[in-house]
Amino acid sequence: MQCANCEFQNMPGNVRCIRCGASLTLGSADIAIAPPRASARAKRLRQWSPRFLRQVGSRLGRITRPAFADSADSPRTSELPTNCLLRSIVPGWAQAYLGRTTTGRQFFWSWLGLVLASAACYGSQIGAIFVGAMLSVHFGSMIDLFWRLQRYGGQVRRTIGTAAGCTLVLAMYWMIGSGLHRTIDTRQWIEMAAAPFAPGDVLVFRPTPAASAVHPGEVVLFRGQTWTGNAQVLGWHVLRRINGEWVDRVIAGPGSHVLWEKGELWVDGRPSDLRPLNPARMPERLEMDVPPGSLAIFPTTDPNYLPDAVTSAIARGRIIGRAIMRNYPPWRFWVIR
Amino acid sequence: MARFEHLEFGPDANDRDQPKLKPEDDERTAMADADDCRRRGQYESALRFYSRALEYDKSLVLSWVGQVQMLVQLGEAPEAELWARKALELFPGNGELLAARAQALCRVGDAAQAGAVCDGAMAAAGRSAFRWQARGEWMLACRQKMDEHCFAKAQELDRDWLVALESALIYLHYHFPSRAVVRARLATELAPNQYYPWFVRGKAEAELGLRQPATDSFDHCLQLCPRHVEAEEQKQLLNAGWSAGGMWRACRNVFRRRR
Repeated sequence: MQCANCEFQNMPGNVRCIRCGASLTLGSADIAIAPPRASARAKRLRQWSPRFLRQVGSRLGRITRPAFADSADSPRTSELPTNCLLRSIVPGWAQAYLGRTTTGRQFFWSWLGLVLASAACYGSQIGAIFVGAMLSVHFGSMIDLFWRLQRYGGQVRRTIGTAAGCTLVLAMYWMIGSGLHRTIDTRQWIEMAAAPFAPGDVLVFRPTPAASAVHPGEVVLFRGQTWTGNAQVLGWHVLRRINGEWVDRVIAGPGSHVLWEKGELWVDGRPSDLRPLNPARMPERLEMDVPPGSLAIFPTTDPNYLPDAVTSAIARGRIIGRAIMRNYPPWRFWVIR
Repeated sequence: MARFEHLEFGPDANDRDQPKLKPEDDERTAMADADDCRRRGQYESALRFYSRALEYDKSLVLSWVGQVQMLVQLGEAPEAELWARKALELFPGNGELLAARAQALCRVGDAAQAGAVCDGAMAAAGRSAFRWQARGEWMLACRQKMDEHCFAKAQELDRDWLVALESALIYLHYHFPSRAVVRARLATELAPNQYYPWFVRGKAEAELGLRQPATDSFDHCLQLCPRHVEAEEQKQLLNAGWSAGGMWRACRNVFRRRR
């Protein structure tokens, strides 16, 4: 019984070669001899995808693939921190799980602080910086986690860590961000704003897909009337066109008769408690009939012109969303009711 | 008697005159066919013949190695690596299989593990040109400078033109056309009547930007094998004017390091 692998002459009846351990019963063994093949699509993808992505794909594939039982030099999945992968969703959790509590706490508290700061400054430039820092901390925690895989070389660890970090950012934060953006949106007044708003304020509002759901009494963000007219700027006659988005309270619904006189509001002949956000900018007297399909909103936060019967009739299609609060700057925080 | 049950005797006198099928002839034929296909660059057919040889005899290590090598040549390195691991289960520590796995790992991009496997292949009993080729490929993958020594050592161990040709193919895979041309020229010098070395030489010359020598090599290839579609295509690409593909290749070559 000569071994096919090392040509050692074994005793008859041996199942494995006593020198190299190769099977001596290969002739009768039921072994698949057709190699695995890549599909045409997979080959095309490999051909066109960058080399970096191919390396990452194959390495991740090898991690998730179970090793052959008898192969001495195949990677052992038990040595990989598969238990840590899910925990890496929260920075520091996986580190704490591995016994590095201090590092885990550092990652977690710095990340949480940045989450709170970015939530407080949501929609502002400083908020964007906080979001970036928060992502960096999370990314860093993942790199730190994979850097501990001492069994692998630096390049493999870097590649896996970077790939996992990118996947996390793309999958988790992108989904959260896009979902949040659809639920809660922000507007920042860059240059012009009238009281109670100031330049630089950030308004958080909830986009309303159905403008018909807006009722009198609610504070809404709306697209103001476009004003076009002649003006003189630095001695030049110019055609001036003003439009923008403003915030104010819905005073009355379509078909109502609205009367504002001496600081008192009358809707359909009855007194109303509703007031615009900046009553000081209201004229002495304003009387209007709200056209069908429109809402009565006095644009008192619009610094360009005073409310009148024309500018106060806002078509429903111009409603953008319900105002929730002014969150930035933090010392001017205001829940709008 | 039980003690003589395992004794082996020659063929029975009655059977001597009858023609009989020799299974070893079949596996040898399959291996020879696989080698022929490999020398013609028909790696898909070669892979089938290696599998056929294994159907006759699963203990043929060279067939397993050949399968892995063909998978690598066909651009299916992850599958080749998987298959090499499976073969290593059957033949643990086999130097050729370890070298084949190292080659597959290099193509996959896992140079660190490839190095370890390659060391194992060199430490295993016996010597072969393929082990030195795998060593050279690993050095290329790691951007080390001793690759030429390894390929020269492989050529020294085996003067077969296939060694030079496959060395050229390795160089081409890692975009070292200048070194690939040297190996491909050696292959064509050793086997001037074989068309595949001329084709590989033409490819290396074309990648190096040597249009006229590349056209000559493809012409030579087409002279030996008039129906060689790939050589025809490569020749047309060389002679084509401005095209999107040509522009893309030109841009790619600008940003590619020349070696």
